[in-house]
Amino acid sequence: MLNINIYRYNPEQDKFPYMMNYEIEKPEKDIMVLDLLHLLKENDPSLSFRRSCREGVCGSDGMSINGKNGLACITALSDALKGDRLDIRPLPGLPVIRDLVVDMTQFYNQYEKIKPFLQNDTTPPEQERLQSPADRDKLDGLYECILCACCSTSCPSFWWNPDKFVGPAALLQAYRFLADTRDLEKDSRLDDLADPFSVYRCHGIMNCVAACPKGLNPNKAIGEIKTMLLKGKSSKNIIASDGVTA
Amino acid sequence: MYLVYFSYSNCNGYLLVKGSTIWYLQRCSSIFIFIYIIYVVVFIISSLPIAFNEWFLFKSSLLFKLSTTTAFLSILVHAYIGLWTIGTDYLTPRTLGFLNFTLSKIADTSRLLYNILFTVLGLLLYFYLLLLVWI
Ligand code: SF4
Ligand code: SF4
Ligand code: FES
Repeated sequence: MLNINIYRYNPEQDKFPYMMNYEIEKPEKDIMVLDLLHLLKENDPSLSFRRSCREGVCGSDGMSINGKNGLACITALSDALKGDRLDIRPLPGLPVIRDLVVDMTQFYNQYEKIKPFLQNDTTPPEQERLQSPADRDKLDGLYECILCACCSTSCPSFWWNPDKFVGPAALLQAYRFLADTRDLEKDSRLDDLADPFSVYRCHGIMNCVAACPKGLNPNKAIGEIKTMLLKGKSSKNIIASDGVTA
Repeated sequence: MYLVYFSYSNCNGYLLVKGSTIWYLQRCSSIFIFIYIIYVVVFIISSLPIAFNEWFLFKSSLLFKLSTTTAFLSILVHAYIGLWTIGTDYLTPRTLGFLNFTLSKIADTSRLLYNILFTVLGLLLYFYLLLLVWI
């Protein structure tokens, strides 16, 4: 028998959130935590959680699994269980809409703030703005983020100041555009991050690195941004006429 | 003046000082404090057992007075930034609100008082030290 405790809260009925206990026969095969949630939902349709791709691509089922943030769909039950016990809670620090479903507004606001798009006002070349393979390699480890929020919601600095500290996920994306040779707004991007909160609230606790289900390293990206800020203004990239950075 | 203003507000005030400036202040002050400690410890070890005369000469030297003044200014700045950070992490409506709704309502006032308290205490201690060192 598995001893499963799930955070439940339905604001229409419950005054306070509570942990609900479920007992279920241990499945013969090793399944993912998301599969287990579906098994439980068969008997208790009121149990709410988000999911979509069920293969670690969409980033919608981030949750706290036995105290560690991760994607339920790619976390094997055998890895998550402590003995026979499994505690599942919503991502910490964000307002709970219902059960395991959290309100991600604060998280997305920070993402919006870093302007997650290429800024380049030069005339686009006929086909596309080219990059050298070496320049393209600089984006590896950055573009793969699926915005699941496992990192930001495991970061104490983000818990305390989610309105002022940009948080590891959005900072990883900020660096993704700072590192892109096709982007021409490095200075204004850095200006937007120069205050004492946006980047500097990161104290290198590294929870983000431990949490990321895609194996990314926001802390390293944050370090790169800090170096850029400490060095001061960048010299603008010189763009050759074919759009390749000279 | 910058830093003082910036302690009383965390809404507008923080825009005045750059994160990098604070970062440098933290690092430079800690390096200076470290060098100062080595300077004093080396003196003590090299002149053991210390005679009063030797200590008196050491503490009357201009180098000692200047470095002590700077070292304690560094400690003041370093502690100030650290305490300010703690205040803006934990003494906020949001963080105190995790504990209790009533507490969250007095969070801004408590942070202000807390900031005033450590600023005043820090400055008093520092001026007292200046008296000890220079007079
Ligand atoms: S390294 Fe920085 S961003 Fe990552 S968890 Fe720690 S404080 Fe947060
Ligand atoms: S960096 Fe990792 S943990 Fe953070 S949002 Fe992106 S994929 Fe999720
Ligand atoms: S369901 Fe899409 S990442 Fe888990």
